[in-house]
Amino acid sequence: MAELLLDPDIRFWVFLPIVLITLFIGIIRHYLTILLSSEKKSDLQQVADSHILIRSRILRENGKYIPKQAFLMRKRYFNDEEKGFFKTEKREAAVKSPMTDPTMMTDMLKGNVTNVLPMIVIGGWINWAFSGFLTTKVPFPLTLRFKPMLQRGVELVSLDASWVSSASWYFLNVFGLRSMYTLILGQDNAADQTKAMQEQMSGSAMMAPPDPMKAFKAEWEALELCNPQWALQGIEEDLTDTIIKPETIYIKNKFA
Amino acid sequence: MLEVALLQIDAYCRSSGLVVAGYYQANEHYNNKEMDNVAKTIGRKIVEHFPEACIFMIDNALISNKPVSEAYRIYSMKDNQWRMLEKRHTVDEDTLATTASLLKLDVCRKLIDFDNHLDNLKYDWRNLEINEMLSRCM
Amino acid sequence: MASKNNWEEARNYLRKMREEQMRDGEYVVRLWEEYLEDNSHKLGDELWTVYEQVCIAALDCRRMDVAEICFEALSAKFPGSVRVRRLQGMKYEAEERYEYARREYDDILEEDNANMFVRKRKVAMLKSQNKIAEAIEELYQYTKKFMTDFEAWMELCDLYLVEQDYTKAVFCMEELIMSNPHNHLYHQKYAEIKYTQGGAENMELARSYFAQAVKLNPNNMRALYGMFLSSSHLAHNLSKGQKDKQTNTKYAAWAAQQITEKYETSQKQEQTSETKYGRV
Repeated sequence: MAELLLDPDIRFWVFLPIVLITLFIGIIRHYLTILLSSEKKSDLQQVADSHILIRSRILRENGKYIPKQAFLMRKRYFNDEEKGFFKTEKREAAVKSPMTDPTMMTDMLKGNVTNVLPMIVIGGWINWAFSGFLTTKVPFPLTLRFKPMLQRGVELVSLDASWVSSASWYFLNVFGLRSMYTLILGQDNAADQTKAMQEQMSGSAMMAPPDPMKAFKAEWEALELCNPQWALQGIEEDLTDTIIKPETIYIKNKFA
Repeated sequence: MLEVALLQIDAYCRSSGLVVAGYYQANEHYNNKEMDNVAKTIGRKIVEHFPEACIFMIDNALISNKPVSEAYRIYSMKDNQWRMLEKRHTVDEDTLATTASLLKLDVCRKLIDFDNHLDNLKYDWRNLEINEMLSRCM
Repeated sequence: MASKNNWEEARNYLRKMREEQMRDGEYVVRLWEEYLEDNSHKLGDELWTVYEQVCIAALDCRRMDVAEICFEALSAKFPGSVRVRRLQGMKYEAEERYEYARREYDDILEEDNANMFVRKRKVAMLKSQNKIAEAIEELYQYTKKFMTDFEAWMELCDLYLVEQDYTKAVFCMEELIMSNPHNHLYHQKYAEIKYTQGGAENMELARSYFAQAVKLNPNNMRALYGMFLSSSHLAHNLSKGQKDKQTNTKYAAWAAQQITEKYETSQKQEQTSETKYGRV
């Protein structure tokens, strides 16, 4: 394969402009998202529910540090057949489908507008404006499988796979400038598209689960099974290293 | 911890020929200068050992950077009840002048009480340095 | 006294105070006046957090002039912000215009029902008006909804202690112990409340929790003293039998020995001999 020499003008008129365009679009996107983002209103009921679930979990994990009586009292508060919290509290299952919840809909729309739309538009424009250019070469040899990825817009069968066309160079920039954004804009910037895409894929993980009833039931079951041993039993002996008397050995074995 | 403090201080006093003769308290709330149950209980305990003990309830409103005499109310035990004594002259000019100079030097920040002592045993709740300063000023 | 480097030190110290939640109003106001007020343009974006910090510190020591300056700067920059409105409420509280403050907080809560800070300010307001019972009620309602706010449980415990309602204070401390089971201070405070309640069962619990505090932090003098006192109390007054009395005496002796060792290692000989604690 003959060494291809690129016109040095390409460096100034294609290579750099694509980098700069991507950078500026990213920064603009970041500020736009901040302007357009709606405040997240937290619902009192949801917050209270999440607190209760956390408290129940703490009770299960650390209940052994409080006297047995105190633990049983709390367990009864949550799990009692008639008056227990997890049994009596009914919540509507809030179905968070975008169709029914207008706030979610607008949020999704905004997300789409700021992230996906510019990418498509700019990508198309670059493809049109800088079509047919080879911008750069990756310094390591690649297999032919990379050709369609790296040489979008340039259909040359005999071209080495290391060469990157302008459209592909744009996409490489989108992903590669992530760390630059962190440097310029600080962490948590909205210009970071990959995070947004990951979020879309993994599904929304909200603070309070969409179905509190299921969570309550799960906690109820877990708490029913929980029956901790008081952790401070015999602690004075541990501390003072006294010889364990026969009665205390017997007591310890009873629960072993 | 109050018990521990009283026991220790009592033991020290007895060995030096001193006696615990009173108790002063300043309430957390700015406008509150009433005796609460805590003060009454402690006062009763002290009176058991020293019948002429007094309780000083500090009036927060009168405390300032300048020395003011009578920034407190004095109570003593009469007929099993705490009664306020009428204003009497408890401090003289020398004391006021000494207090003024000590306040200027911000000595109050160096005062160590038993709580500080429990946090770090090196701190001496007898406050010997401040005692020396006092005797030099007087 | 102000020199070029000092304002940076002042800024760093303020940062440290924010992170560790230290509260020394006078010192903050002094730092602000001496070093930072003139150099405020050098602080950049941090300026606004510093303004908030200095404002609250100034309200603490009743320097209303400083508080006014900071507040005006903040409300000019962030008009209508909930955080600034909360500062407004705190200013009203400092001026003892409690009705205005309450109205401001209620307005904020109407818009944002789940704002924890403002709810807690309402409790603080009741406390500063010495309406302890109402403060307790308000805080109790708060903890029913926000069960894992441990700052609130701590405050509720203290309020119950003011009212000498030890059973409820004990309940609050149990919540705190469960949240942070390795914090020796919580165990120690719990034991102290149990000790104050009195009675054989409570005394035994007190002794166990003091022991736990000592186990978690062998240098905790209060816990050592507590263990000593509770064991000797059990041995002399509340023992259930000869064996019980013996065990408790042994624990008391062990605690006493630990205390003596600590004193000997940290104090000078003269100081220890003069303040020697009386053996009960």
